[in-house]
Amino acid sequence: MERTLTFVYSGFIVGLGLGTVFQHAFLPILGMRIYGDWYGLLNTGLLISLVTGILSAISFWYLNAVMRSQGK
Amino acid sequence: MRFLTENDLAEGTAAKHFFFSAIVMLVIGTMLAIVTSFRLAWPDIFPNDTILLQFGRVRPVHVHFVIFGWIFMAFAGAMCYMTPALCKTKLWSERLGLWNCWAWNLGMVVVFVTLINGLTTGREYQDLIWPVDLYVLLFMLLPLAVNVWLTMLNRRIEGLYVTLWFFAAACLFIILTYFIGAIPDFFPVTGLAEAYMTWWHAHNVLGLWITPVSAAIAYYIIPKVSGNTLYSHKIGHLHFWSIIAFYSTPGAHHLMGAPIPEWLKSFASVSGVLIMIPALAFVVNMLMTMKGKWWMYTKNISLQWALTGVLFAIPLNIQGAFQQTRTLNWYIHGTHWIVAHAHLALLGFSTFIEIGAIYYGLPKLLKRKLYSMKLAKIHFWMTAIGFLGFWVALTGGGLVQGAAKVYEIPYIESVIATHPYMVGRVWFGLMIIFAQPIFLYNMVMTAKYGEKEGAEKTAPKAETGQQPASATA
Repeated sequence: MERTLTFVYSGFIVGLGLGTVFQHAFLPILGMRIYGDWYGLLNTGLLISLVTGILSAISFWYLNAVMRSQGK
Repeated sequence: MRFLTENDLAEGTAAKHFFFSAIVMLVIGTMLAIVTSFRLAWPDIFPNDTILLQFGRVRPVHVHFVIFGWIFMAFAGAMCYMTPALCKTKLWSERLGLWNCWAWNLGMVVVFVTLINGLTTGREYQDLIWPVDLYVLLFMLLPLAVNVWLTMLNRRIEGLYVTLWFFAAACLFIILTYFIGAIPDFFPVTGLAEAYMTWWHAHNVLGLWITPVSAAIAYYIIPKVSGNTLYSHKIGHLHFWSIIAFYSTPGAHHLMGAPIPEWLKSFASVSGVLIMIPALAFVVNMLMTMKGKWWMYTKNISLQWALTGVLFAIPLNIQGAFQQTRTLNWYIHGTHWIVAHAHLALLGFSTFIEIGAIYYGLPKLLKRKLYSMKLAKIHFWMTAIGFLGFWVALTGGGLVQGAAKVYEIPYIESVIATHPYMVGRVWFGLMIIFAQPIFLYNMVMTAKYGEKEGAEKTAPKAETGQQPASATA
């Protein structure tokens, strides 16, 4: 259990961090002032980070699951 | 000279003293953050007429205790432990190492007294007044470097393992970096030149000391504990030389909004992106070294810390490479994002690897087993969860401030908008802060009551320049 949590934690934080960079790449393309509310920009950015964080956490979880299936 | 090398102290004495001192500094340094973080969340929580509790007084002390106290002394402990082990010899002078450690502790007392009383140059990360600068150079950094270099000169092996390249070079870099950063204290350097030297120093403390030494420690711990040999010495070469080529130049990215020459900004920006080369070389080398051994991630507490630290290097370095390009830098400069990034480097990447080194080395030096694995796991999870929340809160707060810039929102509105993030920073920060006394307690109890090891040697065996990890953990 602890091992799974450690993998998921590590994957999530790696993805979240990469997402902070992706959002900086995408936000200017989306147009930084397209939102009526200035918080809209932040929410879009956080959503991008959250998605990359979850995807990365799933990939780390999968790595752990494969090792488990191999009896490691 | 003979006086220094007379062998009347047990092997590992200096390393043990450095490690314990570092943990004490970690506890003090993080405790000081209670004041600074509370001040940012609730500015009037402490009496404003108590000058010693003002943000401007406590913040530099916090910074110096976690960097010069915790990180530097943990590095010194790791160097005093790993250099003799990798050179198959004794530390050149345990006596010099011990004096160095106590001089360091005395230096930290001086740092505390001067900074808390407002005796400062006012230059960030180069805050110490010139007599203290001299003390740092002559009694803290130089003796450590001499001890490491002479131990390497007296080695009983042919080659030098990657860790040693970084130790040797970093000891030179930190002395040069610190001296150059302190030049405005001694000579009439003012204005933009002073600003540039200040930030050149600030960034190179990270790039030429904290990053390479943290990496060097990971190069030791991860092959050692996993039992795998280092994936690639060639990639290690690439890491080493690309750090020297690209990491000594990007200091100007801290001054993107300042009227420094445009070519200097472009130069800093390009070399900053090129930092991706050493960063990826390091991460790939470490992750591939774990090939077939990832199942060990949580089997060994030092590996759990060190490997998590290595994984933090991925977002850290990709953030670092891109956030210094002009457009992104404009967006995040002067926001909490930068504070989040700095903590990802110092508290995430570097501290996790150092704590891993201490969990690995200190019980071996004490010839005892760790007192409590349960406490070590509590320490890990409190720090890890606390760090995740703390980092997300700061990054989010920084993005709020960035958005406020884009939308030209009045600054005070962005301050109000970031209040919840600052509160989040306090609560998650408290988890990190209160985890560190558990670490100290566990290590003190290990020294006192830890189960004694049999005939464990302090120096890991079977290490040569080419085959560093053949010994078991």
